[in-house]
Amino acid sequence: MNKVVIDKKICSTYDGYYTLLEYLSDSKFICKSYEEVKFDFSENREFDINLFAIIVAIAYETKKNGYDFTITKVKNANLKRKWQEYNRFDNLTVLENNIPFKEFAPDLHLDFDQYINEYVYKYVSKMMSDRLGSNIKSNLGEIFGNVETHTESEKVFCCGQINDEKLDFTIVNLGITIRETVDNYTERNNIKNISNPIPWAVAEGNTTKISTGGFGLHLLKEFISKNNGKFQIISGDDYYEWTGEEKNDVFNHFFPGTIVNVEFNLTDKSKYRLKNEDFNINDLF
Amino acid sequence: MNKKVIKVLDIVGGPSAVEPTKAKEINREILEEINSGNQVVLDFAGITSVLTLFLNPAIGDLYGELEPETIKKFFSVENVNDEFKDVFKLVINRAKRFYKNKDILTNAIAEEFDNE
Repeated sequence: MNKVVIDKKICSTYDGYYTLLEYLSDSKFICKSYEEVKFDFSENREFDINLFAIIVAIAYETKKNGYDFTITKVKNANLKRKWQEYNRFDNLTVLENNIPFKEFAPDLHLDFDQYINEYVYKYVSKMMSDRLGSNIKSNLGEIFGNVETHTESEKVFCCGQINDEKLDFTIVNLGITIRETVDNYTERNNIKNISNPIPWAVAEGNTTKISTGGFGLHLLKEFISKNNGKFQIISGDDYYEWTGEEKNDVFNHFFPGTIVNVEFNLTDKSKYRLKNEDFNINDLF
Repeated sequence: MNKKVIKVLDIVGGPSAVEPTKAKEINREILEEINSGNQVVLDFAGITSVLTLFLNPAIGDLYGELEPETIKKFFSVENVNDEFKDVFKLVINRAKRFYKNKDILTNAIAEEFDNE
């Protein structure tokens, strides 16, 4: 049988990602005997649409290896529309309260910045001051920028989901994993192995680059913890989750790249601002 | 000492300062001017979007090439929207720490993870 039957419910949770990685493994197994992989959604009733970015990544990877990929019997109208549009290469659904799927070349920083401003930031900006907002946008830009700097991925796939309670935004690449990048760094610098590479990579000040930088997610993480949101990274077989507390795990399945999901809690009616610190930038030099 | 004003808008070609390649171009121009003994002002007039992705290579990496005293004496920015002040602060402080303690930091990281 050349099909993978998708579970009733696939959400942006530990179990949801684990299941999607399991489907990727199943796809690879199917490719040993068949020329096409089908994802059968006939039993699926709930699918977080931001995870469409992962479905496209799986499709891209499968097709790149010379096999066909399709999804069938989709009931979720939004998912169906996104898949049709993706196959028509017209991958931008612009509807009210909808964050469209979009694929980028990793060097299209300007396009990504516009996409964030137009489709993501406008929904969360009311929860933060302009100064904090600039930092949050910058953090999202760094997540995108890391794809070009570290992964050698050809594409970046993005999709989001918004409802009254939350906004999930997922960024996926198919390239060198965080563990591989960190291992190369420790080997190159002849320093001891870092056993949990994702917490190390997202900590302020740590970078594998030879110049200044780093994931630089300090403010995004702090905001997420105050907002009761969620920040998840799946890279290779490593799982990382931040909700104010860190959770790490290792999956039994491998993702050949990195998935980052940022979840904002939209029921939070607070407005956050940075400590009002008045300073002159030129005094910082 | 001559004063050279570099307009970010002219180099990035629009209101968004987000592209690392443009940032590297600016970094090279700043270094060239300072190494020629000129004072440099980086002018952000007309810029409505600035990312760390841009500021790290444009300004942060100056600390890898020049002494902090030289940067303080020869380099400044102007017309930066208040909204971006904290992004600048993050980049400048991070670069100062990074280039000051590059070797020490590497060793400290190794020790920190030694016990796991």
